[in-house]
Amino acid sequence: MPIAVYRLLVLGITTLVVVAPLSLVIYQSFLTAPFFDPSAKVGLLAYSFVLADPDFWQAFWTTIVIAGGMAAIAVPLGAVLAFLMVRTDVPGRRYLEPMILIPIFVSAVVIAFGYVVAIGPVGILSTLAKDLLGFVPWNLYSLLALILIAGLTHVPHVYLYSAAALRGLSTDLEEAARVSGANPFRVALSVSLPMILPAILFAGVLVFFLGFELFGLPLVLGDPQDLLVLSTYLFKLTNKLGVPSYQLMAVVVVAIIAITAPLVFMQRMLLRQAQRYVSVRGKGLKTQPLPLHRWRWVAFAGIILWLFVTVVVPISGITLRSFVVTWGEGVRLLDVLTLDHYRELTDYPNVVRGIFNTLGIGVIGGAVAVACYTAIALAVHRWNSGWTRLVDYLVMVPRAMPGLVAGLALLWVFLFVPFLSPLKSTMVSIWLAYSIVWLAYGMRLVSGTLLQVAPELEEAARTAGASDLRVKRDVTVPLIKYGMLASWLLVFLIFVREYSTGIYLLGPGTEVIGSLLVSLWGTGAVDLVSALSVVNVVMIGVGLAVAVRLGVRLHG
Amino acid sequence: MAELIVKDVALRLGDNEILKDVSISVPSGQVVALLGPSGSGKTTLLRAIAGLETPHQGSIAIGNTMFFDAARGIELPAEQRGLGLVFQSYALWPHRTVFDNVAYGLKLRRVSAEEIKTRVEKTLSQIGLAHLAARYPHQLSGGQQQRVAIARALVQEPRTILADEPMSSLDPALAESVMELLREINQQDGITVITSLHVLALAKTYGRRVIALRGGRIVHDGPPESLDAGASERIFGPTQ
Repeated sequence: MPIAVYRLLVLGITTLVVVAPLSLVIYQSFLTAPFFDPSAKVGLLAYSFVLADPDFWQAFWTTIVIAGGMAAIAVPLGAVLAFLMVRTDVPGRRYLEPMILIPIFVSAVVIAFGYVVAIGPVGILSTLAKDLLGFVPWNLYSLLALILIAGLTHVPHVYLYSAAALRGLSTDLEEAARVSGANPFRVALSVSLPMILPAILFAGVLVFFLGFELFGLPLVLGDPQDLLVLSTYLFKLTNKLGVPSYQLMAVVVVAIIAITAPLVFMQRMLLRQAQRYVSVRGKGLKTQPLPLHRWRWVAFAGIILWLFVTVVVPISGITLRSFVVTWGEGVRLLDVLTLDHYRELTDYPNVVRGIFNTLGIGVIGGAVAVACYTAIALAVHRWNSGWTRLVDYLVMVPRAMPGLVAGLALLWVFLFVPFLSPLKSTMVSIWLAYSIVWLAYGMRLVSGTLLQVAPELEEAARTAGASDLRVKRDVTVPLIKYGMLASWLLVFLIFVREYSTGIYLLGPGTEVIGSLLVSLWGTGAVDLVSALSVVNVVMIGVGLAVAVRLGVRLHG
Repeated sequence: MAELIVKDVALRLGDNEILKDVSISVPSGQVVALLGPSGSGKTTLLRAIAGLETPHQGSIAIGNTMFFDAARGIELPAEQRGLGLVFQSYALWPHRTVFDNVAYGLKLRRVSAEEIKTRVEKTLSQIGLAHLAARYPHQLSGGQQQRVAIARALVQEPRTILADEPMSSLDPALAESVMELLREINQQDGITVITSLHVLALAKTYGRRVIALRGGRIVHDGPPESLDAGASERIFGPTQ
């Protein structure tokens, strides 16, 4: 097959898969009823309804406040954390880094449940605090707590980009500041952080964007106080009119995409700027970290405190809750210990299916997704054409759709296209939704690996007589196989922790742990939710351990 | 006699004009040293001949085979030009053994396994590395890797071998042996060798003909003896 045919094929399929759900959402938003309703007409009725709904505006402004608050907390903390980890002699840096990244890989909904059972009104730590102080000094169900938790759990996102930028920055610049008399704090403020400002800004925009994607935390922590954000408003809208209100949901989806799409493209611009800064390199000599002297233990304590609040509290809370019959004031731990919740998991066939499906979607689905991402990346690899820019933008489009939205759009595609309908109740629908949602991420992983293949290795094959496709088969793919393996592990972790994308596709046969957790939480089955959350955390933990053991860079 | 003819070739990379109206004619069996300072266009010229860069003007042909002609819209893909190219960085595939690196082009041409074995072994013997056939590139020294890169080009029995700075990564003794090898190949098999170099003395020693580039233009073309002080100044600029 000539390379042109291969490229055309890959481009065509990618365009179809990305554009079809989006087009359907936009089309649905201009209908007066769900698209399958014969009475549906083209009109702006749905827009009038949603834009006149005070709940929509409350959700909109709350989302803005939460997203802004998250960025205000995560950006400075993430940037400082990156400086401490990359440039200074904070103790135990090697062991701290995988731990810092845990909040990225653990499902937000699990973290939210963890906070509820740990520091909720009758949470394990709350009852302890009440025993000691006579009152609970915090209120989990408040906007402030939601912002604080969302901000702290998104510190790793800023850390990742800031740390990568710092690693690419010449240490000569910092050393020049040091010999000029700057202490580490001054070096950070006057040289390191300003030099990586584009990367920090990029991460800030990313966190603000993720604020719009937030679903698990506001669903669990915001619901008891009737606090809606756009994603939970969309979720509640499903049954607002008592009948499927797809046209209203489509309007909300269009509103979300109208805000997130410019943010994604702004990120792209900032990333280009960030890379320009990173190109300022020295001779690449290994240098000594900046000595913090007595402050190194203070910095270490600060990092541990953050890890305690964002990782230890929720995960230990949910773990402990999964091993007790009940919890509340006056309950003694030893009296209530049990393994029954784990036994109960096996009593529910849908839960058992959910566990196996989750493993399947991670292992098999992840591998197939990486193969697809590789096929796309190879199609544009070394292709000097304007079409590559189109692909760049195309793969970013799903990124502007939060998982919940993408799942909904895919559901509609399966309902809208008759010959696809039988796939709706199979894991293919979940796999497709996950693969589309994480297309940009997967492409970044594979493209990063492809960048490491020196062009002359491929050129040597061409001069030896190999066609373009043969070069890819014989040289490029064998050379990136370890990178593909690493990508597979990272995609496994992402697929296993995913929860919002599968919600609308959840049905008999398509159960996955993430969407089951959301569904079970709605029924108040805290015991099952706790045990299932721990199962999910263990899966992710094993995946993370394998990845770290194999030396996979968790930041992709 | 097959002859390489490069005619009025101009090539732009972005906004930079790398080659400007370059014309050379190399008779079969000649050893040509392409000389010039860094950035003069030597590598780009070799890559254009090999088909790895596309000029926007001019033509390139060997004998009756037109490789490239901008005016007539002809561009033969690199894999169909039948040239041997030795990369400056060797470009040995790390996931293939020495034998497999050398055999690769033959396999693509569907040469029988038996013949591949014979030809690869013969070529590896010719460069003195038959005993290292089962090794991987990272298990070889720099000089050995360079020889494998030459063997990979040589095994396909090309009419012309293009070598990009084959000595730049080697110490003087190894570099000399590699150049001797290229000279032997030329003398025994009559293969045309065009090699880029950036040191005048080496060009004088190993080239039967020296073509010098500066700023993308040919500034000298003649036998090594013609490289006097004036020529040196034209190529490298005035010495301080």
